[in-house]
Amino acid sequence: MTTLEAPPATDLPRAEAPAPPRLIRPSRLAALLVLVAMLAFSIYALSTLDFTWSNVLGSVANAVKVFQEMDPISLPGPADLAYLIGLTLGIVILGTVVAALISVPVAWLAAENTTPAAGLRWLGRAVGVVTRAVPDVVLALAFSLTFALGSPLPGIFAIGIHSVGMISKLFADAIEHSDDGPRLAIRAAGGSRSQEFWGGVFPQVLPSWIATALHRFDINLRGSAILGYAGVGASGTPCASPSSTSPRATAAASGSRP
Amino acid sequence: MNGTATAPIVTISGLTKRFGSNRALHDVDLTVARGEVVVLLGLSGSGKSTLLRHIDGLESPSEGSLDVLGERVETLSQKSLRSLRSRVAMIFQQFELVPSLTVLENVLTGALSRLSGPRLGVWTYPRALRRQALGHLDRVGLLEKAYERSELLSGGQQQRVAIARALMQEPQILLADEPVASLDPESSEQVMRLIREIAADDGLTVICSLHQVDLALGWGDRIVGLRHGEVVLDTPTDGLTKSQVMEVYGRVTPTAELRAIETELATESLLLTRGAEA
Ligand SMILES: Nc1ncnc2c1ncn2[C@@H]1O[C@H](COP(=O)(O)OP(=O)(O)O)[C@@H](O)[C@H]1O
Ligand SMILES: [Mg+2]
Repeated sequence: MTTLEAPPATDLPRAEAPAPPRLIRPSRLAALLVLVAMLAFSIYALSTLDFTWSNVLGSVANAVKVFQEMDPISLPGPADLAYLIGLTLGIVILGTVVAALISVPVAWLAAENTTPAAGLRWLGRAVGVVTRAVPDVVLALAFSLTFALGSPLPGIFAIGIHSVGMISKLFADAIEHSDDGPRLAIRAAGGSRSQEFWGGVFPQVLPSWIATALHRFDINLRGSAILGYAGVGASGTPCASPSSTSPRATAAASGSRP
Repeated sequence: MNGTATAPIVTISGLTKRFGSNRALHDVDLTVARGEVVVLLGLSGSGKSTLLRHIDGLESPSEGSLDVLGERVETLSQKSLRSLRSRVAMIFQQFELVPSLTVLENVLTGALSRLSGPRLGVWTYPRALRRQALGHLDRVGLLEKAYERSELLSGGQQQRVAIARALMQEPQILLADEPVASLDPESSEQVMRLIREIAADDGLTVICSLHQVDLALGWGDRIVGLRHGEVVLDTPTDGLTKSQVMEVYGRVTPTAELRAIETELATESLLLTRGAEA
């Protein structure tokens, strides 16, 4: 701003003088220290592992055994296969839709510019972190205990809950990056908090919400075979039965010594 | 219109607003009569937006009091504040439309305070409101754009949509915060004329902030000048000359002040372009 008077800033007492420029800021230094510590720890951890080339060569026999037990791969008949694929798709679609819906209020709580109170913001973020932290397979196993074997519900619930973590996180980020103007315009016109959100924020972040849900759908679809293995009625289910009779194969695959 | 004996619609006395140690408004006294068209003149940072936001109940004063439409603003509950805001409309420099929504839906959001609960999609609004919204769009000359996404419209058109949205509130007061600062001269002219016409037709009280003296002179009934948060000028526009405004408002020679304003405009448009690129 160009005025011909003394700038107003000069008559404002500043709380503190501007800090002299430093080459290394404390936050940078801390980050660097953490990195170095992590590197040192990794090297130490690697050195304590019984990791030698002869061990690796010795495991080749294990790998051969795994592939031998895979043969012959027995796929279900075409009709069953189609049914199972359809079932898997249904579980993944429903689970992702449920997660996307739950993510809206969670993200609304977690985003700084829409949360009704600071405490609720932490609740929203905690829901996101916890659902992200618990793997869907664990959820599926837990739920499969409460439903009939082969029921698709545990799969839907598992995907529905676990996916909330990622979708709500990315959705909350999108809300925080949205333009405040339209929301404030609705507030200025006497709108309520929910009207501010649905009228001023949600239309702006709708594309990002859909994109995130589709991305998560893709991840869930790829993970669904493992869910089926966990016995929740997806296309991985048939795979579970033969190998569950042969724990050796899984043990070999994970490389543990008998 | 100035000097008539109508009861004031806005009475501000001793209004001071501080943001931390920064004093945005200092001891502002201002009375606006019903139907008056007031220009709020001041450089960027002089407190125009802050004053307008107080009148709409969006800020609470650090000191002093505001009476708007017979309500003592600083004492109102959250609910009464919303009811006050619904009777006071506001338009903004950046229009503040939702870019991805249609023009019609943007206009409809002006009626949200009359509805309970949120709305999403034009069809979720009552039919009568939709008809009303189309009427307002017709009034601002944009009926044929009703179903276009608002981001496809030019700046001048978007501001006219924002005016239609304001009209949906059936307001008694229209606050305009630098409504033409982002517009080219021709659109500015058009928008300023539209506000003036609507004010006259509907008997609206208008308080419009500007930083261009030229636009202000031929336009309002009265000019209020703000400098560093203080009222330094409050006079009817009739017979006022530019150099008189400059003198009181800037206390510097007109040419120097004009240059200052031009520099500021150039900086702002530069920032706008940068913002658009980012
Ligand atoms: N929300 C806010 N927080 C802190 N300072 C503010 C806020 N709003 C305005 N200010 C300050 O108050 C002063 C007046 O600002 P504003 O009312 O926006 O002026 P104008 O609209 O005339 O440009 C400026 O110094 C600005 O930095
Ligand atoms: Mg301003």
